[in-house]
Amino acid sequence: MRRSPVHDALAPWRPAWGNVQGGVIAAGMGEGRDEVGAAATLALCDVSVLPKLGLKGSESGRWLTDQSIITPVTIYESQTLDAGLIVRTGADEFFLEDDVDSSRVAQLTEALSRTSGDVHHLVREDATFLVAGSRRCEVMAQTCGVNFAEAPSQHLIMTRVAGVSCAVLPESRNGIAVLRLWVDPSDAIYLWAQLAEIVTDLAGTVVGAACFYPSLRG
Amino acid sequence: MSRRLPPRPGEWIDREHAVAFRFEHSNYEGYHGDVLTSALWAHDVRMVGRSFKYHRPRGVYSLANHDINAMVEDCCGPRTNLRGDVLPIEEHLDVRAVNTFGGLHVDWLRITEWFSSFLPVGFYYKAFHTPRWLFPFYESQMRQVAGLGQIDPKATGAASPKDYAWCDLLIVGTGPAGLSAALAAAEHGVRVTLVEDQRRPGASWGWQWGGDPRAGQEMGRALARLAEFDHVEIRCATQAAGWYADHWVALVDDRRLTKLRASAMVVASGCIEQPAVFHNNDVPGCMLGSAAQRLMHLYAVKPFDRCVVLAANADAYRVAVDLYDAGVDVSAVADLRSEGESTPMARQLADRGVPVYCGYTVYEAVSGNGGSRVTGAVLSPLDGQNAPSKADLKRIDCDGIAVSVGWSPAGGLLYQAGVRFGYASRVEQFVPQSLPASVFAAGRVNGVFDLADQVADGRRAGLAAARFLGRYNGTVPDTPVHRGAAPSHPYPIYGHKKKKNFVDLDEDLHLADFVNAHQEGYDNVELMKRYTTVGMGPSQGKLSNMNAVRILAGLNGRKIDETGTTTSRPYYHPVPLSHLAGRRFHPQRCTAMHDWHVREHAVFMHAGTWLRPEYYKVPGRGRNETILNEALNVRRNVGLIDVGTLGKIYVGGPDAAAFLDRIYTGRFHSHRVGRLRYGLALDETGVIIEDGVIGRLAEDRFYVTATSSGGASFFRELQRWGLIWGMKVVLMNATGHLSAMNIAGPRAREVLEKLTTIDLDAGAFPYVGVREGVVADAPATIMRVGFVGELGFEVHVPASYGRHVWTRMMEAGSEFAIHPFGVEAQRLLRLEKGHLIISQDTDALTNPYEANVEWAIGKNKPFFVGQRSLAVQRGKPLTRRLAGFAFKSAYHGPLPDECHLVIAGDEITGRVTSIAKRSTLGYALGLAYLRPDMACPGTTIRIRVDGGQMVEAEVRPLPFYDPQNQRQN
Repeated sequence: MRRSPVHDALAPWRPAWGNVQGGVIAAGMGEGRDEVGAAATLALCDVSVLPKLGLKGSESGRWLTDQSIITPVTIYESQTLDAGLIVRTGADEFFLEDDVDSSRVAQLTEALSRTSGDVHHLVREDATFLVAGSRRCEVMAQTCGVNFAEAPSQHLIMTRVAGVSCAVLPESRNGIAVLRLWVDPSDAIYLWAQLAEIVTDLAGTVVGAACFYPSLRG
Repeated sequence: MSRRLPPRPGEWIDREHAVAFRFEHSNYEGYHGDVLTSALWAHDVRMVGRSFKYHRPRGVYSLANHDINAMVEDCCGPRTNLRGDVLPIEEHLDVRAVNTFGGLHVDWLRITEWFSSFLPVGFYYKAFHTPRWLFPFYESQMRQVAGLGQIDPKATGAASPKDYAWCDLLIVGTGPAGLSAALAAAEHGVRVTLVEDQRRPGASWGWQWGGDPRAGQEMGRALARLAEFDHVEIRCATQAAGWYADHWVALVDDRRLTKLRASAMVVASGCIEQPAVFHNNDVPGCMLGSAAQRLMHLYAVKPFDRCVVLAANADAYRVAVDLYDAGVDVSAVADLRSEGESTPMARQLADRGVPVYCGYTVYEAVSGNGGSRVTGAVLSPLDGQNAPSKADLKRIDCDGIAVSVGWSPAGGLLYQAGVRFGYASRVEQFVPQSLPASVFAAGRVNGVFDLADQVADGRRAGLAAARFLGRYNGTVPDTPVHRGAAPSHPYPIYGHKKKKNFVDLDEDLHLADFVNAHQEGYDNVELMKRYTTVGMGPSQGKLSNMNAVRILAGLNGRKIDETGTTTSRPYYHPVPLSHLAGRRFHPQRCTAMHDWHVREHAVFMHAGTWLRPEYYKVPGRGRNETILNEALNVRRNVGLIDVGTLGKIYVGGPDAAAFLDRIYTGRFHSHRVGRLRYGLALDETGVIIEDGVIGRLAEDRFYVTATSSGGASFFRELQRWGLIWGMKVVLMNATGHLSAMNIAGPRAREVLEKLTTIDLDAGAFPYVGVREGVVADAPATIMRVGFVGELGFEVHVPASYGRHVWTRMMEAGSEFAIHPFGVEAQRLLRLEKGHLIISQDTDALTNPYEANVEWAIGKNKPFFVGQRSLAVQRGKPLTRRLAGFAFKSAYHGPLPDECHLVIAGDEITGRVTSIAKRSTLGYALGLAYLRPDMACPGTTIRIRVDGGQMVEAEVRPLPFYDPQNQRQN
């Protein structure tokens, strides 16, 4: 039922579809390809259907603590949460994204609907793209003025990529160095096209999400 | 390849790899590693191009891309203005010289030289202004003969992958100073990027010192040592073409422009060898000494068989020795200095038995074969005033003249970086005098010429940069001081009665052009540049600016320092426009239903940053008919429009209602939960900036919609006011995160009822109500609105559900003849309903009274933005008012467009803001600002349409459609 904003743009890579919490995800691309091997060098991946949640308000940090969630201390710091992520995006603002196997976002959304006080649910439907592999920074160098080769891991960087606002998180997924891009879903089709073109020019490819989330295989 | 020399150490060519290519429709062969000009010269092809103005034959001159004698274009391809000095030959290369008519050898425009006496600098300023009616003819003729390569307007260039790069220290130049600077910095952990404009590193180490095996070994050791550092990058065939603030340097190679950000910069870009000015100094065979050395040491090509060397420094003697050792018969060295040279190079030359004429110049080059090659040199002694004496001329037969009389610093980047230069007579060149803290100069550009001194100066600069970057805290040695004679002659410029003693080879400017310009009053360096166009050609004055300054100083009787230089601006070297354009990023926002619209043949339009369906194409139907049909289907059945582009903002927190009270003209603190209200927002001057509907979802939570094009700026405005007022509000711009669709028409309720459990009955869910619930299994906010004047529901869902809900709506509506409608149908429908669109029916001065929306202003509110300005405006008479107008249904004449003027007598009394030339009501209608006395219904107005014709329309009451609002229930 839920779709990535670039769902139709994935068709040329012949995706094998999977499901993440009611969302359709391209788990693999084509047949018989060594996608993990390709991703180690340079690959682009769409995992936009991973559920997301934003929280804002002076009581949001305390509320998350009440939900037994340890929040990052400094702004733009991130940490794992049930294999997903929680990022502190402001003094009183948080962003959470589920892993393919976790459902923390749904639980928190439900809990939020029963909560009063200065904690507010922000609808977050950001597209999530992964630029992966040893040549990932070359892609970013063509699109962004930030030097990601020296960017610290797990620290969010707010910047512009190919002219659109993005949040970028350097991290490692399934042992592969990854730059995780979050972008407004209305910019997703445009940004995907730009990134896919550059990745292809650099002899990289588009891969399925199972490269980074092995549980999606089979 | 008759002129190819035996293999030499350090040569750039690969003799195992022959390459066939074509030039001017003839076949040639060179080696991999050759550039076009070296490969042609190896075949004794002397003429490689024609000059810009007089179409004189031109040959190899600098072989360093400092001149444009060899400028070529593809015979069967899109590339043009390629520089032969740096164009590698490759299989299938097939090029011809630019700027010729009939080919390089025929070039019938060479006749212009016969009229050169009538074509002095600025002749076109004086000749082509009268009679005025002939100017188009002059212009067309000038455009045909002027210019260089031809651009193919149909060619589509490949996207250039412009990128960013970063380093601690940028070093420009890989000669002795650049490499030693890099070593010194890298040894202290500095991350270095070295940039070299030639294809291999080494610069003058390779060509100037190529005859000295020890120099080659030293260069090899430096490069090998640098290769050991992971944090050193060398970019060859790359121009550091422009400097911008904070060491943002544009690096240009053949594929891309790289925006490099460095923390510090060392410029070791060396010097550019300067021409001597004498008669026929441009004939093929006359070349710079450094070009002859490049031919020999880099490409193993023998420059001449018999030559004369024009000298004014020790470097010229090295050139002569190199030529001699390469088998060239060096017939004479003419040294401009009466005292000659006393360094070991002079002794080496004497040992080879080469005669040296001290205090002599080449008075003229003798040309043969139609001016296409040198056949001799005429030497003249110089008197005490540096003037040639024509009484004792010596003619020497030769096929080449190598000129080595001086240097000019390649200091463009330094100038751009704010370095102040001063003229140093010890070296007779400009040298850096005052540098910013993070900028360093080293080597010849810094006035250091001795090879050992260049290495030492490079090390000094590298250490200084490392210290600036905090990687080194030791001492930094002083800059070596140049010893011995100056490497540049102060005035290597000699007049001749036949002129053709060129100062600027790009623009065919000879010495007399400068004298004439000076006589006309252009006695300032910047004015002279613009009048003569010296330095304004593709070479950007690399070979001409210094001599031009010397000439002007001489004409003014002033010193070089007092004369100054022209301003150096980026780019230092011409850059292809495709490099500047890069990949052409043009962000375009799309809704979640975009691909569905594409599949359904939507014709898209740009709405601010968004792409929206204008209408959905139907085979066999025109645009206007299609749009009208879409609108009619909304009136008669039901339509669905994607309104995901609307600004969508959540306002929460305890002060949310009070905050909106201040933002909008209406009241919100008393607004009931579950209800919508029209909101009108003004700026401080009372001008309308935004409108939309605002739903109260809870006591402390509102859902605000804004216009598609204004949503982002309105959100910023809300943030600004939130900060200024310090209120407890939480703002979230959910515009892209939510999809939205408006289902409208008499069957809308029946369609939506199939997909939701929310009670849509008019009593339970009245007009201007808002509900939260589920639609097609998606969490949704539903608003009852009537923008298009029919029963309508706006359904907002998370973006990831958008496509699913839209598809389900279309499926559910199929039995009710649902059809999507685009922006144009929506505009028509709202116009019939008399609803205005902000920024189309308002402008940057429109207040609510003019726009007929004063009903949206809350009475007795304590404050809202723009309130005080409105109070002032209310006391003044209106100057215009928005009103509806219509044409009779039987009218079939021309109709106005938006912005056409309403005229009464001789006075402009209004302006059309919206027009529907066809409507569901059967007649054309629109909105216009009118003088208030004309805005009364029944008034006839006259509108001037395209072509000046006046058409009449009648002012009508608004809305045109359903004035009792019965259709919205």
